Amino acid sequence: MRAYIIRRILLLIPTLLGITMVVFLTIQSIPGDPIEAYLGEFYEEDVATALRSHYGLDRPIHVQYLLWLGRLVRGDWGKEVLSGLPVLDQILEHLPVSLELILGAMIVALMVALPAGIISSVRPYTPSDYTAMTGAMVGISTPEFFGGIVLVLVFSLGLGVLPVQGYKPWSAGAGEHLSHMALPILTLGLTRGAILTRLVRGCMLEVIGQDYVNTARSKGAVEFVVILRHAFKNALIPVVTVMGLQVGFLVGGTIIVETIFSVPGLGQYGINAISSRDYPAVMGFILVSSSIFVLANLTVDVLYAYLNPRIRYDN
Amino acid sequence: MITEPDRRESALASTGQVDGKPASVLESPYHDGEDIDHQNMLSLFWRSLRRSKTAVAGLVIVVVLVLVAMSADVIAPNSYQDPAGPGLMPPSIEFPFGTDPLGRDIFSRVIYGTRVTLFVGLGSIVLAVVLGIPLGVCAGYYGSWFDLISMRFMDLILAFPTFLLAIVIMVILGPSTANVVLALAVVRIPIFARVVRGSVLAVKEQEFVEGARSVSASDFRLLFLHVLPNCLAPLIVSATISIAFAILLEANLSFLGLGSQPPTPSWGFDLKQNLTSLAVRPFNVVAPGLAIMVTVLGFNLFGDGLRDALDPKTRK
Repeated sequence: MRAYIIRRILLLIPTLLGITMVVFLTIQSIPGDPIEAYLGEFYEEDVATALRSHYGLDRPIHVQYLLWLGRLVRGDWGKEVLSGLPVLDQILEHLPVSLELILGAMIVALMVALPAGIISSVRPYTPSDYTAMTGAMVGISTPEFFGGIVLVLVFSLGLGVLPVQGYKPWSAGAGEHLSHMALPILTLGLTRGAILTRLVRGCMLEVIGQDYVNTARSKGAVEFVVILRHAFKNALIPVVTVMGLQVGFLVGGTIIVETIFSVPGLGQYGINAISSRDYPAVMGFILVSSSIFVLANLTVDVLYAYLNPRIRYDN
Repeated sequence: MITEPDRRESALASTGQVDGKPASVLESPYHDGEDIDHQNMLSLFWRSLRRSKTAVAGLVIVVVLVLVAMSADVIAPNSYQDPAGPGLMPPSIEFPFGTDPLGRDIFSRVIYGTRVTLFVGLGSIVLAVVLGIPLGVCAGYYGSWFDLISMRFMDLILAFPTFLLAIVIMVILGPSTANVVLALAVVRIPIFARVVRGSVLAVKEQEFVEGARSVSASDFRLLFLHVLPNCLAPLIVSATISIAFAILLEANLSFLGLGSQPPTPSWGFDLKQNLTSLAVRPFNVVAPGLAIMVTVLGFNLFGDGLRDALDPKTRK
């Protein structure tokens, strides 16, 4: 299994290279000449040529890519166009908030999906199952921004227990911080929870019907033990598999949720960069966001190898 | 030597049409011609679809939406572009969903919005299917370097979070309805290419394909007459659910201002526009969001029902 994990980690390299290539080509394919935009009305042919050679823009595109990649690895991600601040520093400042959102949403999703999915599968085609499945169906059909607005209407404007939007750092006190993070996390978590609930139910139903579960029952094991120790443990494997995929959706979801609730995370940083056409910042945003997804998938694959000893990763 | 029943059975099995119960339906095609075979498969499919209440509910929602989109000019009481009354009117008989800050009738905008939503949802998935099927068929059937390269490329697309990639494409192409269709098609191509490739790999080694090859059927004929029809079931299901997914993505993109541009009525964009009046006129803000939810729900329910109807394992 160690060989498998090493191989899986090595596979990171081509994936990340592929991502940098896409990001580089994205910025290359945006119409407009950066030098022309930079010089504006002071544009003169020889100045432009000098600048192009200064920034290496007259080199062939693959050379430009390699030079850019070299700077990237050394931690030089360029400077924001408007503020002149280094992009990497800015991203590292915004990243923790988004990671907290993603992690919190994941916990909420599991806290909803595991009990709801298990109860549904233990008593399928009963009112409790139908209720859970209807809720899940509505949940997967609700866009995050709409769900967020409904939560604001209920908890902020209706009950008045949580702030409408805004952000307070941990330094302002844990209570303040968490009350501002609660709605964004709930919004993201409930949508993901809806998808996971359906999945947990489906996997459980498949496992519960199997012979070994009946064997456990016939040996006199308590139903509770049968469900949790025998069935649930095996049903968990496909659930873990899709967790990586869910992180991908959460990365997308943070962009929306941070916009609605004005949370200064990576998503908001990226959207601001896009609307102000700050391309170094846009590049950093895409790079880091997709890396989160890639790393989450790696973690899930490694976890999967541990959880599922039936699969041998020998060759 | 391949006998006729063998071929039929495997064709039926992989479209999920064998469940032991309606034996008469399965027997007749062996003796009758192609047309009757298809008719029976269709009616069997239709019967099991009708049994599912959720599928019928989904189908009804989808059909109603299509009708609304087609007759928007007749149904909508007001223009979607020009102010119809004072701004921020509460919901009333004249303005069922109230008016937006510019005084435009939200109900009419929601009705016209079905056009954009359905156009993007259906258009992007049709495009993804049209591009994804040949890709998956060729990768699965011919294998070797083409398979390797095209599938690595699909992996690269899937290495990005879907919504992020859609945003990236919109940044390159610039915001417009047509570009949304293109962006959502690109992010969805790998799904179809993979489904088809998987099915082709499973089907191509089966005896009836070998049989067709032995009577020197051309590759094209083999692929599109013998191999592809056997992949249809998973394809139809994932296409239907993909439409729901595409509509969600479209809503998210236009919520960020990266989708259809004004004055084109788009539900996500409208919701964002009216957001500032949430405390004053909550229903006016929520109405387009409800429309998105109902639409996505319709396609999801229909897709779920289709899956159950086509999958013999879940059919009761």
